[in-house]
Amino acid sequence: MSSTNISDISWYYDFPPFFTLQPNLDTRRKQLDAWCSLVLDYCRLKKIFTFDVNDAKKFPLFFNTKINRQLDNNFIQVLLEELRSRGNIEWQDKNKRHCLVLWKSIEEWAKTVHHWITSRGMNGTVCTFYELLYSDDTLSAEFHKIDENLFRRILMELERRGQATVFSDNGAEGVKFL
Amino acid sequence: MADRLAWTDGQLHVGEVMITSQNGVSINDGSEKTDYQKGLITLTSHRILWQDKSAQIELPLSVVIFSEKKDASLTSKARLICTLSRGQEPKRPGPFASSRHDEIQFEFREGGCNDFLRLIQEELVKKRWLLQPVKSTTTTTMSSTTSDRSHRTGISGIENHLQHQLNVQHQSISGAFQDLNKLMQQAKEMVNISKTIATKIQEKRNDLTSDETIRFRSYLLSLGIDNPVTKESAGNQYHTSLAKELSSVLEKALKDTNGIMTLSDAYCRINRARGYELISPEDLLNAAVHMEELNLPVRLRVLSSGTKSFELTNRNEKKDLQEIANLAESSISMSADQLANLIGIPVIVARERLIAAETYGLLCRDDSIEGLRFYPNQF
Repeated sequence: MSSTNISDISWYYDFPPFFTLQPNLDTRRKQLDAWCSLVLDYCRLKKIFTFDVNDAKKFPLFFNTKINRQLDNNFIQVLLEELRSRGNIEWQDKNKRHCLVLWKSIEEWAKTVHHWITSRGMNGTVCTFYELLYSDDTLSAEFHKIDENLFRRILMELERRGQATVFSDNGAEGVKFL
Repeated sequence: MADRLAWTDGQLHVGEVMITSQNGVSINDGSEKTDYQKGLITLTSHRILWQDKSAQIELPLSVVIFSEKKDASLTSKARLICTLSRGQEPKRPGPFASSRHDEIQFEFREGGCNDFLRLIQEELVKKRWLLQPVKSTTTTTMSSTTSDRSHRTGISGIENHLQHQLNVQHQSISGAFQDLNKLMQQAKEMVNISKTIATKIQEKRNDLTSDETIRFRSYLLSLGIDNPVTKESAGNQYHTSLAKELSSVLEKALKDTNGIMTLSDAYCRINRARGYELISPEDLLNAAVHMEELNLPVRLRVLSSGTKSFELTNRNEKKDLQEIANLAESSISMSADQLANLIGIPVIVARERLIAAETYGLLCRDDSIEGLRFYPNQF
């Protein structure tokens, strides 16, 4: 998976104008569409759940050494704002430096987790976050080893739906599926 | 040694300082009288200058070995005697070709000999001509009036100097315009010649093949327009008439250059075509403003960069831009100067065209350290 060529996800990646924010608004909208889907596809493939603006320059997607082009800070800001307005990222702090990348919406994640629990007949059981994220039992689950912050967001969504209760005991967080 | 005297223009050199001057001084070669009587003698840090109404003479201090005074006698006034060296320098043109004496005597008819002697002796000790070799300020031997030679210092000196410079400039400018007038006359002759050729062609039409006629005509056209619109001939209709003329001349040229031409290019072309009776940029612009109301096939357009240009009224913008997009596609990407070379338009116009094509969504840009390039819009 690590050898995935980004150009294979989107051919635009080797198209130099892709890295310049287009002044023509129609063209820019299409360009941003292409960027959003590229970012989400890439994160899905690489199982990336978070993004830090401070590391934006190191984010492999944002520079293409083959054609010697990279996104400037302004473009990155525009792109992140576009992703946010589409609900594909969620800021974790007020300064908008750190965000969750939701290539799958929170609702979809919640459904996935709930489906996995019910299919295993684990309703009514109590599990720690650690067990669910890192134990061998969940190896096949899609949420195996996902970002803890994201997982907490998912369980809060389940709690909101009345399908789980989250509790904390001596720093170890657990959940009871209903 | 009066042969050491040389002609001069009387101007002070750079670094030369005037020390004193005295009227009514005559030059004697040894004890013999000369033609140079009762002039103005001037001592500077470098030279002794002597002038009257007809002559200006200089004696470099470097050739003066020493100077002494000979008191007034019954027959003559007080004299300053300068003993001169037989210098090695070649003789410069002067009033005397040769001399039998070793000295020059300056006879001070109106006094002042004592002061002059004291000052010249001071200068001979200082030897300032060695410290600060002179460089002549005047490259031309302009003959100016003697009156402005008498004041070389102070504000009047500066004013005289400025006046002098102004005169020189004025002369060179009027010289230049004389050339221009000649050019205009010659241009008129040229147009006359072209007219004669044209009539001859008409007369001999039957003898020439149509191909030759066409070729001759094209030569004639490149020589100029045979009846240019001038302010005199058109009066207050000048600008509208000029607009018509512009339009007829530029229409053909515009068809060759992709339908667009900057104002400056058009200005050159129009004046090239007129040959003489050239028009000013202002007239061109004023005439261009009238083009639209006259429904001419050419009009003035201000590009978004602020550049003014002429273009054909019936130009199909969309089609032109599509052509540019096709060109960009065939060479993968395109920069303004590439396009300019390709279709022979100014770079600034090429850039304008590319941005217009971008606005139409035909192209998209790649703005990197390598410069601004345009690609076919594949978004």
